[in-house]
Amino acid sequence: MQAVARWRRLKALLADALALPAPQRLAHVQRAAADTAEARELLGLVAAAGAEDSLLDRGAQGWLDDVQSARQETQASPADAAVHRQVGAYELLGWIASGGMGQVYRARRRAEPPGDAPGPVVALKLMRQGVADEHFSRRFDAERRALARLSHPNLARLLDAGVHTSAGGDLPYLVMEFVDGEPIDHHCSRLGLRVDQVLALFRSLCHAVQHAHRQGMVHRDIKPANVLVTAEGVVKLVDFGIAKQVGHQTTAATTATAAPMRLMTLAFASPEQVRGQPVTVASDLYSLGVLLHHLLTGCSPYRGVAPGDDLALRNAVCRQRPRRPSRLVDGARRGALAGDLDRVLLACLHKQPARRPASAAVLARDLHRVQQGRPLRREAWRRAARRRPGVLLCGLAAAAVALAAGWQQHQQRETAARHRAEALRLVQDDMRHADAGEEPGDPAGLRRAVAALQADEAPGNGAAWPAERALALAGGHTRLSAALWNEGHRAEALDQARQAVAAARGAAAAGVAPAARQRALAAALLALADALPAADAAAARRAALDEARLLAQGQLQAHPGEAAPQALLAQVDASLGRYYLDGASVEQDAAGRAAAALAASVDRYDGLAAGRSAALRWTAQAADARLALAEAWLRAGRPADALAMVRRALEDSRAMATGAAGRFLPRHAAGALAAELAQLARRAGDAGLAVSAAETALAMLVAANGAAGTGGANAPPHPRDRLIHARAHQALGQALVERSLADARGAAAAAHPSADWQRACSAYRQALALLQPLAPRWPGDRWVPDGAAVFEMRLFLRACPDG
Amino acid sequence: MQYPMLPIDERPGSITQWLNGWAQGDDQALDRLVPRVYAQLRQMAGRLMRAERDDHVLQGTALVHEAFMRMGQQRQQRWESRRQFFGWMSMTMRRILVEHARQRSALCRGGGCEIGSLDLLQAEAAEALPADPAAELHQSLLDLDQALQRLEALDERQGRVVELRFFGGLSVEQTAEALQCSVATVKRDWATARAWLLRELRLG
Repeated sequence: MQAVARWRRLKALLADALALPAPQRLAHVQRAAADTAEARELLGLVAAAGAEDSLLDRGAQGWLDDVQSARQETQASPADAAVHRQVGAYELLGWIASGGMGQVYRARRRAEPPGDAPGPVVALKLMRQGVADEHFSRRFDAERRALARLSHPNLARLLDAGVHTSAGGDLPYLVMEFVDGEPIDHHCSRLGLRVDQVLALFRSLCHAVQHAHRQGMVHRDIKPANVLVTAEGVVKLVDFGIAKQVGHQTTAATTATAAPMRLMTLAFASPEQVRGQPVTVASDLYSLGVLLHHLLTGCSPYRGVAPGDDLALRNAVCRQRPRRPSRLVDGARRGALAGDLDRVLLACLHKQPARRPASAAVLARDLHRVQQGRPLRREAWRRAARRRPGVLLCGLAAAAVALAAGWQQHQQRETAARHRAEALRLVQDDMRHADAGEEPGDPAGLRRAVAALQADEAPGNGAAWPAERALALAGGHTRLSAALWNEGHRAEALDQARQAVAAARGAAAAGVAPAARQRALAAALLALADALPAADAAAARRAALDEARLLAQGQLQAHPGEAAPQALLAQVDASLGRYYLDGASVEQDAAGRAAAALAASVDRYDGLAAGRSAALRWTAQAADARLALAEAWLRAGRPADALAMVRRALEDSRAMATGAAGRFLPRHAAGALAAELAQLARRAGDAGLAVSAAETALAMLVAANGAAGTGGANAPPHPRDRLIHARAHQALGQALVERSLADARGAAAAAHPSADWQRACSAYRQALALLQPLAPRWPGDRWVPDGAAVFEMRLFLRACPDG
Repeated sequence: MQYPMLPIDERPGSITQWLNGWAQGDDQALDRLVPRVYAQLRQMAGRLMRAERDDHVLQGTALVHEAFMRMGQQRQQRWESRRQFFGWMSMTMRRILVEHARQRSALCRGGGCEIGSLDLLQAEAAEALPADPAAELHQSLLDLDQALQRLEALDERQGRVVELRFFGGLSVEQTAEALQCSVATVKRDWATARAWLLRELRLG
């Protein structure tokens, strides 16, 4: 077989090269290789041989050892206790459980002076992460003070807190009342409690929650494991983690992975918690509802969710209507549940926080009435005319930092109407920028505005409000998705795009005119297609693009003279082309189809640019489409056409690298484009064009950042910009290598590495210097260096004159 | 109420339990089992190295046989020489570790390997979770196995060299003995295979 023979030859050449001392290997490769391609491959292998790799060299035993120690680090190892026998003034007695952020131990205050009786048994929760920064420790203090104010017979009290200095860092710890009890669901089922008995227990829980809410704290993690019943039958609401791990799970569907950003049990989490939106006292009421449902029926409110299937559960929590409790039981219990109790429970489980019971006290009162057989007061279930005092939290940042305990402080919110008007104005403003073709800016303000609009449904200023809101939401989410994508927040961008589509689809019900809502939907679908991960979601992307295309065509037919529908269709075709190019698509003749779609897109953009005042905007879009089109042609086996496209795109981008076009194609984007063009040119076989394009890219980027794109003090601070810079250097290096390999055929060149080669080495060094400090800022961060590219550059540098 | 004070671990007689557990689908049992089996095999290999006569060492231990049989092999192995044993041992270790890694790999939770879901939430969930260091390790072993399969297709003896050295942990000399070729050949094969694999793994 050809590949076998080829490898045999390569292997022999490689072995010979490796037998030589390192400085002579490069020359040997250049002499012995049959052609440039072989030389390149051998070079890569020679360089790889010099790399260290712990996996291969340490063998399988080493690998096993690594797995063992990795597992020990991530799992809760109760052996931790041995390391922290003494924590502050407390002595650890034993390990209880492992919570999201640390371990929980039984402990006791040391007897001081010795000889005195030691203190009572307490629960000590030792955090996993240290108090590294001052901000965290200040918040920890604030939480601690707030927790200490809580005092209720049904709440496990916070007794003490402190910081434990250890080899692993300064770890905060909390000391809480030790509750010797069993989870409430276990308790109810073990004793076979009747409905009224369950309700009595539950009501005392509601009073505890009410107490905390009045102190301004939201628990956020109400679930059976946190609601313990003592031997005396007293209900105690505790912080998470303090429940014994029994053989059979008492808590349904606990999330197996406690991701730090989402500290909650999915099964009991409210829709807003699942979505990562602001949490309020209403979220606790939702969780109370799920808990009561579970206690009364033994089931989850949602059907069709297999245990452990987090994804289906999240879907259900956010979208599925909960089942009536009375339907899930039979006999006497059904009679007890049907009617008012059903209604109370379902109200707690409402997807919209504003529709849930106004407070835990109201819930307790209504449960009491049900218990006594008295009718419920109807108005409890209508939306309160007067709004509850607002309880917005700060959103994601707060959720990440307030780890000390489940309780959090909430802040007061301003009047609803003012917020609403501001939010609407902000979003509409941003949408106008979008219509003008400008790039989205910083997402923070837009995010707040969109969240405010979303949370606020009350009919406000006149009959036009629902339509205004729907349109603004669709557009706002779309914009936000694009902005987040630019910043590198992939997962959030996807979520926003989904919400955009949902909002646009719902626009009809809100009374938005067909033309506007179709455009909004098309834009949202485009955002969705862009945000979906290429590898996993091919079918979903295709579906979104197909629908967007239909909408765009419809718009074009209805409004033939206007620019907007033309632009929309061009945009859809460009996205469709990129979809075909993304390797995951399994379509036949992907390259050909991509080329067709992209060519159509380019034509349309050119048509828009011809004879229009805002030509630059369309030229910018066309340049991007041309890049993709060149790629498509290259893959379709038409390198000459690809090169022609590259030249044209390069010309256009040079023409646009002036101030005027900056709104539509900012310099960093132009530089990134030119770098990509350079890579294409190189792959299409024109090394000279590649070098020229890469030099152009660097010039643009230098102009954009006002300094040489080198590492160190002059390096651009934003990861995205550093990455783009690095890619431009890399493109230049690769182009130069390519050019020099073509020139280096021949013995004479072996002695002196050419000027191109040296420049390439320098370019790679600069690229690596820029990439050096970059690490993902969050899981799924888009702007991270490509490991393979870094590796390749490092390998190459080993062959360079100065190492 | 008694709260547990010790991990449920490391008690004598638990190996059989783990085997049973693993046969019933308990992933954690496999985690316990694999290092043990591996250690046993290595011990046997070590004894073989030092022994002058192969036969009584090659009886095999109950654990290894049982584990091997549980993992799907029906035949009882008989090794006539240590050379044969090394080959079998390395191959077995490879199978065990790769299977272990596959089961523990993040992609294959819950029994089915669902690569490529159209569910938007899954994409989001996968990105939102922090990386589990052990998951990366499992994935890198799987990648290595795949790359090794490609190498075997190009050069069978070279693939065996890697299998013996990496999975079996044999030295260059021991590998030469097992394959009945020269030490120089093994060295060449190992060095070139290593380079090829490294490049495949980083850039492929």
